[in-house]
Amino acid sequence: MNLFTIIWDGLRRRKIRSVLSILGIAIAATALFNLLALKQGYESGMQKELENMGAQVVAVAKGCPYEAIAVIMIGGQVPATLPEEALEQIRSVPNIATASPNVYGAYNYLDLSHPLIGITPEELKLKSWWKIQGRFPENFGEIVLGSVEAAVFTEKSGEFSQIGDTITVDALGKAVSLKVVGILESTGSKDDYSTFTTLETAQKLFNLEGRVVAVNIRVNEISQIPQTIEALEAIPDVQAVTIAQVLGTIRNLVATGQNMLLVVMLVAMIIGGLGTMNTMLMTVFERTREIGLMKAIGASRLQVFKLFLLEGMFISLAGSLIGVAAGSAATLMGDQILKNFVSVMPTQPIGQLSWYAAAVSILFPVTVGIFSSIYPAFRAAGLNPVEALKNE
Amino acid sequence: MIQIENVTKTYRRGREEVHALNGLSLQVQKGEFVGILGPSGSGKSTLMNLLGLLDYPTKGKIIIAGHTVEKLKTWQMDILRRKTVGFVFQQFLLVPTMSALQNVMLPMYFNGKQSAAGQAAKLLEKVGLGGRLHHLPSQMSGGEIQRVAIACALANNPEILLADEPTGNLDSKTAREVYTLFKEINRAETTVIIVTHNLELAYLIPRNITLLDGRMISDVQKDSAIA
Repeated sequence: MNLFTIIWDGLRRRKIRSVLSILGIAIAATALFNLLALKQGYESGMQKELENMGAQVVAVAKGCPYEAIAVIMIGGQVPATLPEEALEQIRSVPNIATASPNVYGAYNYLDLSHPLIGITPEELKLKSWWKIQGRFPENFGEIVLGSVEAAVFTEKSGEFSQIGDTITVDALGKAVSLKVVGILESTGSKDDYSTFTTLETAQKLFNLEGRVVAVNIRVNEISQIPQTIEALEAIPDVQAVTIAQVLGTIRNLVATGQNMLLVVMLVAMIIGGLGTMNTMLMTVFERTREIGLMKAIGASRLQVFKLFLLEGMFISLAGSLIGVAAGSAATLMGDQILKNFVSVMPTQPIGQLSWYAAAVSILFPVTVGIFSSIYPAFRAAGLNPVEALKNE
Repeated sequence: MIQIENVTKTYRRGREEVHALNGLSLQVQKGEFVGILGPSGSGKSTLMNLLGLLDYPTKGKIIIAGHTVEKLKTWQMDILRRKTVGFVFQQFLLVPTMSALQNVMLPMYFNGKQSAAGQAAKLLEKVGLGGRLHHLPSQMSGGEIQRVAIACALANNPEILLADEPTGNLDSKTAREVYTLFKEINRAETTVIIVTHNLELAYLIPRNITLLDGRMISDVQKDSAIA
């Protein structure tokens, strides 16, 4: 016989109540684990995604630059655009090493919308890691497919099987023939899910002749970025934002959401803790006579206190372990769930199981469990054995 | 072994003070077999609680196994109780979800012995329950439960065995069997004190102390115990 035998005996004699208390804690622990694991994964995923843009600064038309960048990242139409002449003014700003103009839009093919990005050879200076099988698009209607797009088209289109084939797509309601001149090797970013064409092709297809949506910029001296931004914004209609600022804003948004969820989780944990306290108090009331018996046969106050404290701790430990297991499963499936609610998501899976999340999700509920059991355990330990034995 | 000098125990019931024991004095030597008799409310159970180190006297002095009870702190009482005293209650008091074996091991655990299954099994064999080690209290008769309770009380090899109306809920045949067990325990030099209403049982016990209104009205020592 050991302490665990006695605690287990106490728990199994009120199975339903114990299970419900454990479940209450488990739900809160699952939420906590997911919150921590997904937050970490989302932040690092978004950082990687932004780094994959290859730019340090993005210049867009005046408006909300964050909205513009979000639309750029998920593919879609940006409401405000810059005149192409602004591009030359941007290039003339000191400290600009590369300025790559982009036009964003989407075409329909195989009943799905696909991002189409108009670029110039400048883009290759930003994305030095790009490896293209075939060649870069040079003429009107030529495209380079991202690796995933190429694989899907090969499998499903019936008209594309190799470089040189032409696909007929729907762009803004018009049937357009696009010739595949290259396939981009896998980059692990949004680029794998995109189609790239010449700037002129995209401008024409999306009725944006003479306009660009954004200019992705690399600078010579990072320390001079604030002055560069100031100079960029001196150009009429241009607004510039650094990728670091975008990342900071994303972090703030994530932190705000996380804080709200933390409050909800805290409330859930308090409810779970009160549930444990209620269970333990009921146990003390129901087992008053038994506690009297234990004392009569020699149990000390400390031994009785320990029994009930550990019983409460066991409930919260079991709940938190179940919570971490359920949270791990939910985290691994988190992308699918989050994609239904969050529009800007990294390409890479964001579910990251971490020891930190597991440790916090176990230690916090166990601490709550211990605090919830102190009062019931104190009551049990303080019972007068003579009175307790009289209890019916 | 046990010395009680002018002990008073007063309870408060609302505004009223109830003197459960009123200037009681007695002595019990090591190895004695004593029956405590008296009507309800005479102070028998209160006396047992004091002898069992479950309570402090309001006034007077109690010395048990060389320790003055009033001077002991609660935790010291806990230790002295578990090492010196074994209890058997009238109400078939066992932990309902534990087997006979586990119930006997429980006081051993509280006394610091973790691996005592063999010793507990021997005790259950001694009380005639060698074949019921893994039965729950709900699977045993009243007589068997009291035997388990006696084995529990003996678990830490106490110097004093206290039994509060242990045969009160048993038929006369089973009551006599339980009494025989107490007698065997007493032969091994354990001091046995039994509270009983059962005059037939009292007749068999060598020394009978009778209480009334918290005072001792008789203390009869028979020349020889009747088997």
